[in-house]
Amino acid sequence: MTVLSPFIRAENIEKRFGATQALRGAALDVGPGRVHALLGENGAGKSTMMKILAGHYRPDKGSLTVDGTKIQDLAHWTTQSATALGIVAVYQELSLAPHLSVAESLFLGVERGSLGFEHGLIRPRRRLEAARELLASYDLSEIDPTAVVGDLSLAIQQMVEVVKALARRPRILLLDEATSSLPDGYVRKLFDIVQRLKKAGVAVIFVSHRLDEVDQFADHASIFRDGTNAGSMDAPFDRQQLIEMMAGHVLETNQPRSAPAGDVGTPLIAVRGMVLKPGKAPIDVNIQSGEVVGVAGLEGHGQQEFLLSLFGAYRPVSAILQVHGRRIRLASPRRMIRQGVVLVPQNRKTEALHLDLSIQENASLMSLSEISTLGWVHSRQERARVSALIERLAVRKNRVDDPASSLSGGNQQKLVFAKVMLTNPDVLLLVDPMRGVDVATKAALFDIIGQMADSGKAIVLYSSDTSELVGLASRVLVFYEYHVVATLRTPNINNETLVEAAFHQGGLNNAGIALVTE
Amino acid sequence: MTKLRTAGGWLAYRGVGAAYAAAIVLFLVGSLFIRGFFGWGHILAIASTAGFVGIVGIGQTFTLITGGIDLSVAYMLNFGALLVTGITLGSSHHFGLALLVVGAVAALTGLVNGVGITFLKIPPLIMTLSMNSILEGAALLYSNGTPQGASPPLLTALATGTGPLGIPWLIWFWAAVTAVVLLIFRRTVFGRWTYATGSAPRASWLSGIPVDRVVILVYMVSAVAAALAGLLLAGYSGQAYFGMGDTYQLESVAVAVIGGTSILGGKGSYLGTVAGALLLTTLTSLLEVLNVGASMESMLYGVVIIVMMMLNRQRPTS
Amino acid sequence: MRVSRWLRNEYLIYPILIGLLAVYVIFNRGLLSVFQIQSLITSSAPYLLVGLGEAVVIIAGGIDLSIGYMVSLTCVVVATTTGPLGVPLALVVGTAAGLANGILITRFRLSPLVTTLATGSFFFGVALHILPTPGGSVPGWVSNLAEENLGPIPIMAFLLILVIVMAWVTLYRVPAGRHVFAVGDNLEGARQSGIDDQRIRIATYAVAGTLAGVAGIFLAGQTSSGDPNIGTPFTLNAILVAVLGGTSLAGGVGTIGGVVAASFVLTVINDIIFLTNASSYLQYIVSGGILIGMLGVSRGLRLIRPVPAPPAKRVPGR
Repeated sequence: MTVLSPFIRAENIEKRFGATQALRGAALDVGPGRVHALLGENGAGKSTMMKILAGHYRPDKGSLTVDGTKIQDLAHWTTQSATALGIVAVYQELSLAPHLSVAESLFLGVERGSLGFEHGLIRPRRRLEAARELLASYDLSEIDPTAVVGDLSLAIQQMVEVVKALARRPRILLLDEATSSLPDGYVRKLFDIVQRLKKAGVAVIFVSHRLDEVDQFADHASIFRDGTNAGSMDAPFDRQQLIEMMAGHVLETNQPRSAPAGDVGTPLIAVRGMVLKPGKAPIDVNIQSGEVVGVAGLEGHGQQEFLLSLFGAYRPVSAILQVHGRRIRLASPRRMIRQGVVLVPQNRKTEALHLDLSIQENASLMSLSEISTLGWVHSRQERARVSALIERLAVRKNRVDDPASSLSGGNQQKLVFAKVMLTNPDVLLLVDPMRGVDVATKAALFDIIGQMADSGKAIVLYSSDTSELVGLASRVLVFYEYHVVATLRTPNINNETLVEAAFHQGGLNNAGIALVTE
Repeated sequence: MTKLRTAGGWLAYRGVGAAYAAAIVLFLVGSLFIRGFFGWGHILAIASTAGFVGIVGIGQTFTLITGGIDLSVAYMLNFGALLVTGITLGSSHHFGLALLVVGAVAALTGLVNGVGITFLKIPPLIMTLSMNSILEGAALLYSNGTPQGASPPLLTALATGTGPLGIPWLIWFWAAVTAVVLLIFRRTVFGRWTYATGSAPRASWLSGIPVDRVVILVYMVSAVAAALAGLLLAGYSGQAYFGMGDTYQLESVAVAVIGGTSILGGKGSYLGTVAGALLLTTLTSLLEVLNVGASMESMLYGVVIIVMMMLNRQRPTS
Repeated sequence: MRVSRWLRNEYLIYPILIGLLAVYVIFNRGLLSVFQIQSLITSSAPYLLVGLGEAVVIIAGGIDLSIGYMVSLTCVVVATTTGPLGVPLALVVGTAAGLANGILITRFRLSPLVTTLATGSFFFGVALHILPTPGGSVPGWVSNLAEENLGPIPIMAFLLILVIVMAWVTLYRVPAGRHVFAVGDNLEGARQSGIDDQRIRIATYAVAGTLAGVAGIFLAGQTSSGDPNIGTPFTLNAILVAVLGGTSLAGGVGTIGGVVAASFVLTVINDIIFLTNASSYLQYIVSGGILIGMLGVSRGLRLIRPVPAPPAKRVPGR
């Protein structure tokens, strides 16, 4: 395609967060009146790109060109400067203030420009009228502009967020997974809105995980993988080709692990009828000693909640939990740890580690009962245990008395593993443990997980990176909208089948499973 | 304490160092310009006076490290003092009973604070500020507005007497308490849990720490420490009077913050609070010698706290 | 966030006020006299003023513990300035003090709690410096404003209505007022919407200072003198009125009506305690207990009627 004067062009964009290179030389090029889809797996750098365009992040390197003018001063590229150029973003996380009314929220921050009031005072009736008109003009008159945002459903809040962006009269509209919590009816309306904007010459860039939407919405798609462009395509899209571009080829030749011999004996941990959200299908899983069970799916479809439920850190609608064949009532993390179940949470900085505390204190925090009598910590015993393990995991360079914040991201993650391993657990629940760590650490963690499985522990591994599951899991549960839509077993676990199953639409048909087990 | 670098991380120790340095500099400046300021006797006087706020500061250090605050210390202290003088009436006769009553009242106060904060989810600021008002009412009701009795001889001796090596008993006592507190922070499970809870509450919960119980216990420690300071202060003045705890509300927070304890939780050490107490008391002593008056003292307190906060402020890490 | 409307703190205060007024009428053995209504209005005036200022600060996500001392400071400024300049000077001083709070907190990223605790000490020191003991004189017209009636209605009532209307217009009709709520509710979202959050937060502290100034002037007028200690109880009372009136310490929530009702509640409680001949010391217990009670009850009601499960992104347990 040839667009002579692109509206917005990003070239050679690089962005790094600690040890993670989120974008490496990514580019994007969108013309007026075009609808551009940005596709890729989790962590491919799509959201980072969107946030850079919106002024939320500043790129480390690269250039931005808007209306043919290169933005000279990227060091001062802010949301304000982006808005001034007509770039407005809608993120998955809401920017709304939950206690304001819809009408107030729509014009928040742009009251003067969009309401044109006299004497510097807002006239609520006029604001209400303007809000009502605005909502009606996008066929959303069922949204009550007097309603308080926090009382509305997530879907409606998401639509309010979209209309709020439109009230800013964007020339370039960024929709970052804005459809993730929308039911079909609203996706339809959003589609109409996008078509109208397109006619009016607005450029729309959107990120979505629903390929059906991409077919409907987009004229053009850019596919990102590992922080860079993996290809692009014009509508109509060849879905198979899209999936292949997103998944890429398997980089390493991981030996897939074989399932432990037979399903004999009582499972280490068993779940019966776990319903994560009202109205969702129940989940039943048995996990044996020595098994690595993978959990896959698009982000935010219940994988985290599933693992947290097993750890007693999330209360599902209903569930029966058995550890070693014994039923556990009223589970809490404290109780589950005593039962030999431990969790490596997703967020290293707020959920897994205490960055202010020392490496040693972090490592022994979960297993203090084993190195203390009557509340007195035996420091020599503590040091011996911690140093031995730290050495084995090769968390080096730092002394164990340094704060955990002095470690690199990869070593911090190793420390988290040391912390849970010191409790000598039977069941390990791992929530995306290799996210944002460097390749070397990744390899080390791969080994650790494998070794622990070999030593007879049961492991549940949720990963947003399908290649990790391919390498480790002998069985993968694929989640979609808070229930399991497919279970893949060893010979059939590969990047293509996983991506295919994850994009499975709604679970009405079982095509995903059929396709995989052939 | 040889291992300065455990518990709390090294960042806290920059604050500790700054506070000790400031206390010493202040003392030397005073000694340079004021005749009679320098001297062993004066050092001992400063150290023993610092003991009162230092002991109230124990509780504040604990609560601040968990990310809370205890503003009920003022009347907990006052109530403790009133109870001990009222029960013993200046004799040693009922001293054991008085200790028991004061301990029970303090423990109950801390328990109520802690339960309100954890289970009723009342913000610590409001919970303890309200508790302060309740305790003030309770103290007034108890004594019917006029404090009774006098401090028992044992307390008077502890607060004003001189012990071995010519060092006041109060300093010995404070040193012993300090050692215990430092051991609790560094060598016990409870100490670890306190830091962990304030540093990252969710991570603590996911690590199996009984976060609610830790918070409740911390407020109980704080109330008991405040009451203890009240007993000592009653012993020091020989009696109890209303308003004797008022200044300790600000000062206990100030000495902890000056000593590098973060109001956001997770960071700090009692060693820093001790430094803060010495600094603030040296400042007070200097100002008293200079006879600048209560007004200038109050102003300088404010300035010192803000300056020390700016010094201890962390650079935002990206 | 989808709590049934009447279970929210912001509306709980009205039934409390109505209930208390009923109790008041019962103890009074009859309806309220004109004089009683007049005294109700004048007694609640300072509560209303400081509570409103505190509420605005809290709505924007901050806290101000220096309000009481700003009241003292402005009170002594009025009482010691001769000529007609006293009142405007007091207003300027109050605003400047608030502005200093706001600048320290936002520009230097200091904790609002400790900063205002420290600046409070500073303001108190200044007040004490200007007027060490109660005294001074207040222009007659200021006393008249605070004391006299215009027909059956106290002049102060008109002033309060003016303040309420101005606050209402600013908070609900001026964009910046809406931004105060947005900043306290969702700081990151407010920034994304192009709001200058620092300016908004500084302005809220300045407003609190100005209103504390009005309260200080009023109290000076009422007592016809200046007193550096007069403001001390108003820090707690300001928070009490704000939170009792439904302002959430989490920010983003609060109403002017709630604050007005809460200031009356506080006055009526004091009057009832007076009428029943109960010990005046009960006042402290009640004013401390009512806040804990109300927050506890609203939490308890929420536990009985559980809030719907939070959206997927927010995992419970915090």
